[in-house]
Parts: sequence; C-alpha cells; structure tokens
Amino acid sequence: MKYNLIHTAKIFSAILLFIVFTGCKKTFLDQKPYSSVVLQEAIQNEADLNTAVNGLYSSLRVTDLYGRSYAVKGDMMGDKCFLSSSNSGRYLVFNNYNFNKTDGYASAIWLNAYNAIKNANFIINCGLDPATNDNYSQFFAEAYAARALIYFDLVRNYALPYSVDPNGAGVPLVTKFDINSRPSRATVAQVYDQIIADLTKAFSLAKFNQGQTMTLVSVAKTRSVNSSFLNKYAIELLLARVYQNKGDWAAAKSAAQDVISNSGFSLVTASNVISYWKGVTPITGKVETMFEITNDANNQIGDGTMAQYLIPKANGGAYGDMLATKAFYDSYTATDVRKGLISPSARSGQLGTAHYIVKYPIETVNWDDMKILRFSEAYLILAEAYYNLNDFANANLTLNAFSSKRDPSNVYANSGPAVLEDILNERAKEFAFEGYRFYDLIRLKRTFTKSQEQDATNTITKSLSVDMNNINIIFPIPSDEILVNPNITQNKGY
Amino acid sequence: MIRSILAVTTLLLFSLLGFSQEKVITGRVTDKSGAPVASASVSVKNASKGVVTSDNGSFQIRVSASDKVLVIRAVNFSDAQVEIGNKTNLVVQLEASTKALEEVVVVGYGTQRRSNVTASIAKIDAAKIENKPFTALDQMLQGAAPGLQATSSTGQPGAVTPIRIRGIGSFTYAAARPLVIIDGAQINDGDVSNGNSPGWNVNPSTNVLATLNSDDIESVSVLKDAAATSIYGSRGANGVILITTKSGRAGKTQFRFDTELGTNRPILPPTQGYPVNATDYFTLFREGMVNANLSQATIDATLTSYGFMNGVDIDWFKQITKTGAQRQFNFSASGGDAKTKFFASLGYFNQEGTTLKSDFSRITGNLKFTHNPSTKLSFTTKITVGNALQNSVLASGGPEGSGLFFGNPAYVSYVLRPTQNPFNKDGSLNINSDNLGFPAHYNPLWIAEKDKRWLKALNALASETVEYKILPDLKFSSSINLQYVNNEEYQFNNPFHGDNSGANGEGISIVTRNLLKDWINLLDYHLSIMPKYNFYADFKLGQESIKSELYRQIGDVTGFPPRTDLYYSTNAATSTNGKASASDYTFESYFSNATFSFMDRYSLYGSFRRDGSSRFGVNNPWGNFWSVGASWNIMNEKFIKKGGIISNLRLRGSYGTNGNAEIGNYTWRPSYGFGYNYNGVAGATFNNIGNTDLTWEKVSQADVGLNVGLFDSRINLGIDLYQRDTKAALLNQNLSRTTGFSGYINNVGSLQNKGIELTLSLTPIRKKDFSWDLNFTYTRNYNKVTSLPSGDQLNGSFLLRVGQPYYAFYTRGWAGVDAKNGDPLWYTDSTRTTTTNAKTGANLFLVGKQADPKYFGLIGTTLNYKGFSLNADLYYNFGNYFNESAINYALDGTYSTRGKYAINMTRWQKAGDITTVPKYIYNDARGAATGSERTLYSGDYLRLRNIQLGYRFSDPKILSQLHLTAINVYARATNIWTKTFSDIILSDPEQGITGNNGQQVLPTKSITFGLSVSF
Repeated sequence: MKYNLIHTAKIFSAILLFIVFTGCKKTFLDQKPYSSVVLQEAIQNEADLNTAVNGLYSSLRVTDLYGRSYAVKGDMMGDKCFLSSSNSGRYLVFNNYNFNKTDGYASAIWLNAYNAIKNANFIINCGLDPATNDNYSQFFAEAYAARALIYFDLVRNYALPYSVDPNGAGVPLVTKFDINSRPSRATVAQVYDQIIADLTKAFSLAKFNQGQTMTLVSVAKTRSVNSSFLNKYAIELLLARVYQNKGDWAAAKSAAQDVISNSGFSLVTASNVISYWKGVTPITGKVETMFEITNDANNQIGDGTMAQYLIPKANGGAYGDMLATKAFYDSYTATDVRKGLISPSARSGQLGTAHYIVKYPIETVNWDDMKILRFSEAYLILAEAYYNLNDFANANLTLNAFSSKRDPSNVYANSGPAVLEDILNERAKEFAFEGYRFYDLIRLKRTFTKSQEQDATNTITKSLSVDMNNINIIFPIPSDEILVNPNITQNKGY
Repeated sequence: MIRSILAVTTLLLFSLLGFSQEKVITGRVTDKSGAPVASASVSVKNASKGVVTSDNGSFQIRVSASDKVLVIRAVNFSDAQVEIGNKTNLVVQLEASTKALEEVVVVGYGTQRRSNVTASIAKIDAAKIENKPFTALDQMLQGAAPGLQATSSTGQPGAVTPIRIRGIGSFTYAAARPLVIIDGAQINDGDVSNGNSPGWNVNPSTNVLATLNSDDIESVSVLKDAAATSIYGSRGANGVILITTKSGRAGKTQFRFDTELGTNRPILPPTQGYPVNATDYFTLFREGMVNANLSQATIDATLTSYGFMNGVDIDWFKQITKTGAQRQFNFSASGGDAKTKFFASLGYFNQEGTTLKSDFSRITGNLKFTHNPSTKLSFTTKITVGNALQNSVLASGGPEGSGLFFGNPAYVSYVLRPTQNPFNKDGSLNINSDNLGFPAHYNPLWIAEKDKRWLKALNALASETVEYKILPDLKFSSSINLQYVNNEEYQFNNPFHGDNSGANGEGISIVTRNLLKDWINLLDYHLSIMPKYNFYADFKLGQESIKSELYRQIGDVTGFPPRTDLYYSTNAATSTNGKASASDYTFESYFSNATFSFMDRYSLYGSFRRDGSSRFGVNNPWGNFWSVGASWNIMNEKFIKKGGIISNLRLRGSYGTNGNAEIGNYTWRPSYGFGYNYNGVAGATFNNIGNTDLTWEKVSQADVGLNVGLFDSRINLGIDLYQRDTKAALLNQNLSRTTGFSGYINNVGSLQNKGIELTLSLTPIRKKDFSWDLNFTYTRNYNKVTSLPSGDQLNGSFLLRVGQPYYAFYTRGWAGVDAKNGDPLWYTDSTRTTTTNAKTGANLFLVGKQADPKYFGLIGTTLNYKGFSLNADLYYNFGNYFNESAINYALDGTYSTRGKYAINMTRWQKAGDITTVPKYIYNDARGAATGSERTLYSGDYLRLRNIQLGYRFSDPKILSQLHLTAINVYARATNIWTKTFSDIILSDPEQGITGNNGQQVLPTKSITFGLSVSF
C-alpha cells in the first residue's frame, strides 16, 4: 500500500496541533467555594474570633440541643408535666420512658453537642494568645465557658449523676479535633474536673460584664455584651451550678454569693415577671437574664422553638404537646405571679383542662429565646448550699429574698429537711418548663411519679413510678457511636 | 479558550495546503426512487482512498490514472461497482439490500453501525416515546430497555423518575443515577432547582427532562457496559442516556401534526388501604378505648367530641382527587435541500394531576438548522427552548422524599377523620380548630384553594457545531453547547390556615439559574486499510471542557395582609431570608477511541479518556479510563449457510473502566464555612472535614453479549451477561461522633452488580395484511456490598453489610399477632425462634428483604391487520419490598384520633382470631406499626403500562384527495390495570428506588385518544 506522504503528514500535524492547543489553564480545575475559606485562614485576629464565637453560639441553638430538646426532657421526664394524648408525635419516648438504644433524640443530641464542642475546641486551639488584649481574652473565655456548659449537660444526660457514683462512666472528653479518635468514656468525676477547670479559666479570662461594650479597634467595630453572650458572672453562676450538682456546697456557696454580691444583676420583680417572659430579644440591662441563646428574625430554628412546641395551633403555636398537670398548676398560690405562665383551657384532642404553657411567647419574627442562666438561680443555689451546710436561717433568708419577688405573701420559715423541700418547690415553680425539674430529682436520687395521661376530670389515669434503677433516666449511648467506636461502653440496660 | 480557537483556525488553514495533481470525480448516490443516500462509502477498488457521501448523496473523490473502479457501499443497500473510465460525474443507483435492515446506533461522541458495535447499547426509537401521556422522557423509559430500572414514587406531574442502569452502583442516592447527554453535550438533569435542598419544600421535585418535548426526540441510546460508557470517563459509571433530537431531511417539506387528548385518574389505594367510613371509625375508636380500660364517661365524652353520630362521613380521597385533563399538541416541519436542512417544531403539553393542586404544562419550541456552504464545511445550529409551569402539592426531598406534611392532601386523606367536615353549614370552607374542624392537619380543600406552590422553568439548549473535512477521511468538528435552566419557584402559605398561618402567612421565592457550557473538539479519521477485505479503522481524538455555574436567590417573608389574593412577597411585612448563593464545577477531558472492522466479521474497539475535575481532591486531580471490546459477526462467516435458519448471529464482549464523579462540588475541601450566624452577626464554623485525596469512584465492568436471529429474523434473541464492580466508592466514612462530625465522604467501600439481560422478540405471524409480534425483556440483577471501611454501617432503614444487597432492610422481625390475646409479637433475634410481645425485647437484624427488584421487564405484543394495530405492554417487577414508614398513623390504635385504614377492621377481637392487626387499643404505646418487618410490603406487581388500538389510513386515493401523506388515529390506556400479590398491601406497589412510601401524590392512570397527520 502506498501512502501520500503529505496526506500522512497532515494527519499527524492535525493531531499534534489538536493536542497542543486544546489544553486548559490550570485554574480551570480550581473552582473556589463561595461560602467558606480554608481552615488556615479561619481565625487570624480578633474580628475572626468574634465570627468564630458566633458560630459556636449558633451551634448551641439547634432544636435537638439547647433549642428545645434539653428543656423538654427536663420537664417531660419529671413529675409536673405530661404529653397530651393528641400530639404531634414528638417526644413520646420522654413521656413513655421507653428509649431504645437506637433512639433518635439520644443520637441527635450527642452529635449536636460534640459538634458544638468541636467548634469551641477550634477557637481554643486556634493558636492566638488570649493575653493579646481584653477582647481576645473575652472571646476565649466564652469558648471555654461554652465548652463547659455543653459537657455539663452531656454528662448529666448520658451518665448517672455525680451523686450516684463519681467514678461511674461519664462521657468522652475531647479537647482537640482528631479525625481518627475513638475515645472511651472518662469518669463522671473527670468530666466534672474538666468542666470546673474550663469554667475557672473562663472566669479568669472574662473581662466583660453584661451591658459593657467591646471595641474591636482593628476593624472599627463594637460588640455589645448583651444577654446572648456568656459574660463574666454568667460564667460564675454556671460554675455554682456545677458545684451544686457535684455536691461541693462550700464552693457552690461562694460562687453563688459572689454572683449575687458583685455581678450587679437584679431579680425581675413580681410585677414584671409576665412582661419579662414576653421579651424575645437579648437585653443589655442587668435584670434577671444572664445568658440566653437567642433566635432572631433571620437566624432561628423556626417552629423548632419551645413556644411553638408548647402552644397549641389554635392559640398561634404549632403543637401544644406538653401540658402541666393540674396538681402543679394548683400548687401555685393565687398570689403567685408565675401562675399566669400556665394557661388552663380546652385543647382539641385532650380530655379535661389542658394546662398549656405560655412561658415562651409566640413571636414569629424574632422568635423566642432560650434562657440558660438566670440570676434567680444564684439565690436558689445559695439557699440550697446554706441548707446543706446546715445554715437553715440563711437558707430561709436567701429563699425569702427570692420568693418575695414572686409571691409576696409567701414566707418560708421551716427548718431541717423541710427547708430543702421548700427550695426544691421554689425551683420547680421558678424554673418550670425550662428543663430543671427532672435533673433536680435524679441529682437528689428521688423516687417520683411521672404523670402520663389525664382524663376528663383532670385526673391522672396513667403514670409511672420512676426511681434510680429506671434505665431511662439517662440516654443510651447512641448506636451510631457504638458502631464506630469500639472503646465506648453502653449504659446499663440498653 | 483562546488557545483552542487558535487550534481550530490552524487546522482549517492547514487543510487548504498542498493538493496533488489528480482527477476529481463528483457524483451522487441515490436509491431506486432517486432519493439521496447519505453516508455511503465511495472507495477506489484495490486502493485505500475513500470518501463518504453527504446527506444529499453527493460525493467528490480524487482518483489517479491507475484507478479503474469505484466501489460504493451503504447501510441497507447492496454494494455497487462503477467503472470510472473518463467520466468525471457519476450517478449511482443502489439496490436495496435483502439483508435485514441494519441500524445505525448513536454512541458516545458519534454514531456506529450496529454490526460494528462491541458494546451493550439499547436503542429506543421515536415511535416508543412520541405522544405519550407522560411529562418527561425518564418516565417513558420504564420497561423500554433491559437493565434500566425507572421507578416512580410520586404521581406529581413533572417530578423526576429516578433511573438506575444495571443495579445500584454507588452508595449515595444522587450518585447512582446515569449521565444524560443531549445531542452529544452533557446537561444538568434531574432536580436542579430546589427539590432536594433541605429546609425548603417549594417544589418537591422538578425535572429538567420535563422541559423537553419528547416528540422532538429521534432516538434514545442507553449505554450500559464499559465499551459504551468508558468514553465518558469519570461520569459514565452508572450508565449513560444519549438523547438525539430530530434533524431535517432533504426533500419536500414535511409537516406533521400530532395531538393526544384524554383524561387522567388517580390509582386509588387497594380496598384494605382505603380509609374507613365514620361507622367503622367509631367502632374502632370505641373498642380501642374499652380495651384501654377507660371509664364509660370518658369514652362517651371522647366519642362525642370527635363527632360520633353527627351525620358527617367524609371520604377524603374523593375530596382530594380529581379527574384531570391530558392534552398535547405537536406541530413540526422538516425539509431542506442539498445544502440546507431544517427541523422546526412547536409543542404544547398539559397534564392535570389527579390530586388537588398538582398539574404541569409546557410549551416547547425547537429549531435545528444545518447548512453546508461547501462539501467540506458544514455548520449546525440548534435551539431548543422549553417553558414549563408546574403546580405541586407539599412534599420535600425530591421524588423519593417525604409527603408527611399537614398541608399535603395525599397524606392527610389517610389521617383526617371522616367526621372532619371540610365545609361549614353555609358551604364555605371550614378552618375551625375544634375536633370537628382542623386542629392539626389542615383542611386540604382550603390549602388547595388558597395556597400557591409553583415552578416556572425555562430550559434552553443552544449549540453551534462546525464540521470541517480537512481531508476526505479526516474530519474536524467543534461544538459549543449551552444549557440554560432558569427555575422560578414560589410558595405562598395563606395567613389564615395552614403552615405559618401563625406568622400571618409565608411567601418563599427561589430563583435558581444553572448555566452549563460544554465545548467539544473532535478529530475523526477514517482509515481504509484493505478495502478488498472491507478492513478499515475509525479513529477519534477529542477534547472537552465543561463548566457549570449555579446561582440561587432565596427570599422568605412572613406577615401577609389578611387576604389571599395578594400572594407575592412584596405584600408582606417581614423579610426573614434573602440570600444569594452559588456553586460551580468544571471538567476537562481528553479522549480517544478506535474501531477496527474486518470483512464485517470482526470488530475491535478500544477507548481511552483522561478526566480532570474541580470536584476531585487536590492530591488526585486527574483520572484515566479505558476500555476494549470485540465483536464477531458469525453470521458473515462462510460456514454459516446463507438463507438458512440463522439470519443473525453475533457475539461481543467488552471490558473496561470508568468512574463516577457525582461528588459535591466542594466536598473535598476542608473548610471553615460561613452562614452560622448568631444574634444578627455573621458566624462561621469548621464545617467540612474534606478529603484532599477524594476522587471518582472506580468502576470496572465486563460484558458478554450474544445476538441470535432465526427464521428470517422472526425470532430474535439477545442475551447480555455483565459484572460491574464499583471500587473506592464514595461513601460516608463514619466517624466517632465525638469528633463533631458523623463522617466524611471518602473513597471507601465497594459494590458489585452482576446480572443477565434478555430480549426476545417473536413474530409468530407475518402475512401481507396481518402480523403478530411479541417481545419480552427480562433483567435480573444481583447487587451486593463487597467491602466497607469499618464493618456494618447503618443507612436509614437499611444496613450496609458485606455480602448483602445495598438496599437490605434492617429492622425487627415481625412474628404476627398472638391469636390468644391479640398482642403484637416480634422475634427476639434473627434466629426467629423466640417471640416477645415487648418491642424493646426485639433486636434489629437483616430480615432478608431488599428494596431493589430482583427481576423486572416488559411483555409486549403488537397485532397489525391492514391499517389496524393493537399494542399492549405489560410491565412486571418482582422481588423487592418497600417500607411503609408512615402507616403507624393509620394502622392500629397508637394514633386513635387519626383516620384509619380499612384493614384495621380485621383486628384481633377474641381468642383464636388469626389476623395481621393486633388488639386495637386507644393510644397504644407498643408501637407495633413502626420499626419492624410489619411495615415492609411486597413490591411485586404487574402493570398494563400501555394498551393502544390504532388505525393508519393507507388508501393513497383518500390521502391524496385530502392532500395528506399519512393519518393515524388511536386510543390508548396507560397504567389502566395493576395486579399485586398481597392481600394486606396498603398502597400502590410502585414506591421508588429507595423502597419507601413517602405518602406523596397518588400515581395516575390515563385514557387518551390521539391523531397524527402528515402532509
């Protein structure tokens, strides 16, 4: 066969030219994302710290963490609330006390909590020096305090209380990101040590109290330290709460006392209680709220908030699922201003009177916030500390200083164990529907009756006796964690 | 870009150089009627020179003095030989071949004669997809090709019908779908609007393919094995669907008008899955309360509050379904001359859904224009525009997503009570929130009337292709293809009743623009090696650059004025979201393939492709893919007697690799992401671990196929055996949640699919006026997970375990109802030896049921008698189960105050009752209707997909009097009959690829009448 040389040459040249000229520029394959930066550029100055701390707070806001589920759990699983027999299907397992090891809430809360811890760790380990200036110091303080808060709630939801066994299995302590880590559970005491260390460090680093303004000179911006951020005394109140749960009453007393004496905060007064609970935006004044996780118009969890859950559709909410028992409603005296935070009314699908909760306002623009630390708690921790230190007089004094702001007609003057009951009752009434009651009961190893259903005469027709042997007082370690982490142990009974 | 333009120019210039001194012969090749024969090969006998005729049949060939005879070959014609002599102009008429008609198949970056194809490719012709009462091509592909599974789980007009080719080849739902190519160019298909993004449910599923008029499609090729798909490199692993649109033909302009009109009706749930009436409802309600030991006073009070004996008895399905119109009109013109050809069309399609508030309409325009200024140069311009309006019911997460919304009429018709009256006494709509009104689930009639939920989609495809014959056997082409998709979605929730009525209504506006640019440069070289033996080779060298740019704007408002007619968000008080975002990806590819063909007996094929993409990790940016294939036309061997019983016998095989790059655009990048805002100030977090090694899934596939034709092709059998191994599959590698992440996408894990595909067509009767054809397809796929990074892995309701199917259900074993006391019983573990009446005592295990069908296919028959034709297609699907994940609301007494399935009437009532429904207990907390095998139902079914009776007017006298060339009329029924094999099934058995009934829109059956006229 003969080939025309020119013909062949043309073909090869064409191919060669084709290959040479159709190459692309290297940048063509490097398409940068529009809403993220590389990790190395994440935190380089105080403005970046501010952004990162906001990201950390936003991770606390999710529904299956501080947004709603912790608070619902703390009341639904206690002795004052039950789930309406006609409900949206949410939190049935809390009402029924029948978690199984694949429980979705246990799984979601676990992941959300460690996600927030990861965000705190990212700030704490960012390499900047907290001592650079007061702003740096404050941002680090907030990150340490947030991490402590998350661990505190993790350990009391996934492990038995400190009072049961400090050496029992707690939760894994993760203080820096490691993709390959498969951590085992630290003991409850070790977790408490970590929390206390974080809070102590945070308190020393915190430079700003509520109402003060930080000036970020480098970017010509300011940051008003309002109740949506962890200020210096909110951190100390959290520390008091941790000591209270640990049973370290001397430390609890001193921390609570310092908050009361030096924070400059005041209790909301009786006449302002109702309007106080209608507020949906963070405050800069030092009245009552020391730390709340805020929803705003554009950054919120929508109908995943408490108000939407607690208020029936007919009244502007979404579900109205969790109701107070009539007995609890009746336990508020007529002169107790807090009685107005429960609304006895008819609710479709619920027999009898539905005592639904109006502590959280329906507000579809700014949405309701979740109050995490209130000044009132300092009084009630202090009173309990006095009681445990056998100082009943000061316990009553502190309790009355607080309760006069709620029900002026009520004056406590008991002694002995009755003082503790007074304090617990006052805590139940004050922190109702904020997720306190159940944790108080198990921290004190109480046996109690969990109401589950109510009939047309408001009589509880179904209930459950809960004691410390009930496996459901703590969550299972999520099955998706167990599947990948051979070093972790499951809670008893799951 | 500039460099590529240079390349084109240089190539063009280069070709003008250096012609040698030879005689030029021009000529034209026609058939007996004088119509041009395109793509005929004209070669010099005993020499290597050869050219191919253009579309008008003309050719030009240079010959030297020593060349004596030209040989002309064309598909479907006998070879012809012509003496050259001293002629310079020749007209050659070809005789039609007596051999079976041989088709040309569209393959990756070109076409191929069927007899040369070494790959497994199914071709679907226009006739199969024209004028069907379906919104999109993907719906029409069900049963159309063996190995292709198309399963719909929503009757929402305009929704995507997910497709899988040769089983589930990827671990993620989005990645396992095939690549779609239109006229050679890649497109963004599927849900490119909002359907699958979390948090927004404006239109649950929108489909780019639904904006195309199927009547504009000439053919669809389904590429299945490596020899077919490897040329698509990192995107071809899960099969490729090549859509070729119609082109003009030279000759008298042909006009064609088609219309199909008819009605759509819902396929209602089976009797046992239909909601009970009021009498039965209260029988259950009372019995449940008695069984819950409630006092008589409580029972009476409760029943009264729910409307006992109040005379209201609503059949909710009657309220929310409707008969919808089905109509389409298509008009096309096709024609041209030697130099210019065109195809133009206009189409209108309208499908009214069978559930309130669901419908779809579309207008399409299409123009394809080809011009050859010279025999060397041609250019083709194509513009296709489709504009669709889709109204949707509330659901989320795409076609496989969830309809469990209080505002979704399809879902609420199960759970509303028969005593909830949609109307007030005065006839107005009832939105009261007492027990006889709508305290929880909304009045669907109100929602349908007052709310809006629409998509307005514009999909435009524009392409410009230039072809230049540098040499008679060397062709260069360059084509620039643009796809512009603009989706405007809007949702209005009224301020009175329904979602966000507490915030005085909500208006969500989402505009998504997708622009995809695909530039393809190709060199095609035909080398005639030994013309005497018809031994030649075709080479292809190509380069392709793709860039896709997505831009999305979201606006969300609340606080509407107290009326429902001003639904645009500008009327609302509060803006809660108004953001723009973007996402891009690029691919850069080089590829080449070669086909060698010898004596029409042996073909060898090889391909290579190198792909780079912005989606691949920085450590792994480029991938190489290759394939080889061979075919042997045994039929053409001398030892096969011509005219014997064997009319076709062909063996082919292939092996090769390809990949799957359906990775998120930025997934590999470790990132610190913004948008985590707090207290009105911007926030950011470490939100993606990333994986700088992340790369395509690596798939290798082997295929062996045999085609046999017997008795003059009255029996045709095709068999394909394949094995497809996915390695380094994209899979979420689970991490300890204590890292703050549940996992990250990594190339870990592997999957295997192997199976058999059969097609059998028979023509038992073939007479002058009467013929009877039967065809049968069968697909059997075996799917299993072959490796996992760290042992078993939960995957929704499935468990990934080595050796098990990908979609293997993992749940509790259901042991039925205890005949003694009516308790629900579960097996304690996988041994199924002991039972328990406490769900917490039952362990989860792989229950031996899978969501993907074991086998499926189509049985079709066509009878032709004179002008009449009767066609029926029966689709069958066996071996899968689907999960009724939401039946707990309407089955058993757990949610006593919601509507109930009729099957509850078979509940256990007394000792000895054998039933599937436990003792009915008010607010039953035992959870027997969820989280066990009891919610898995057999997906076995037969469905009469299509039955059609038509008449073609064939009398030439009548036609010429009417000045027409053809008239067809027909009546068609679609999905008219379904047979299931379970007497406890509660819904339609076709519930999607992932085997979950998301309680979306009911499926549809239609009866339509059609007319097609050509003139």
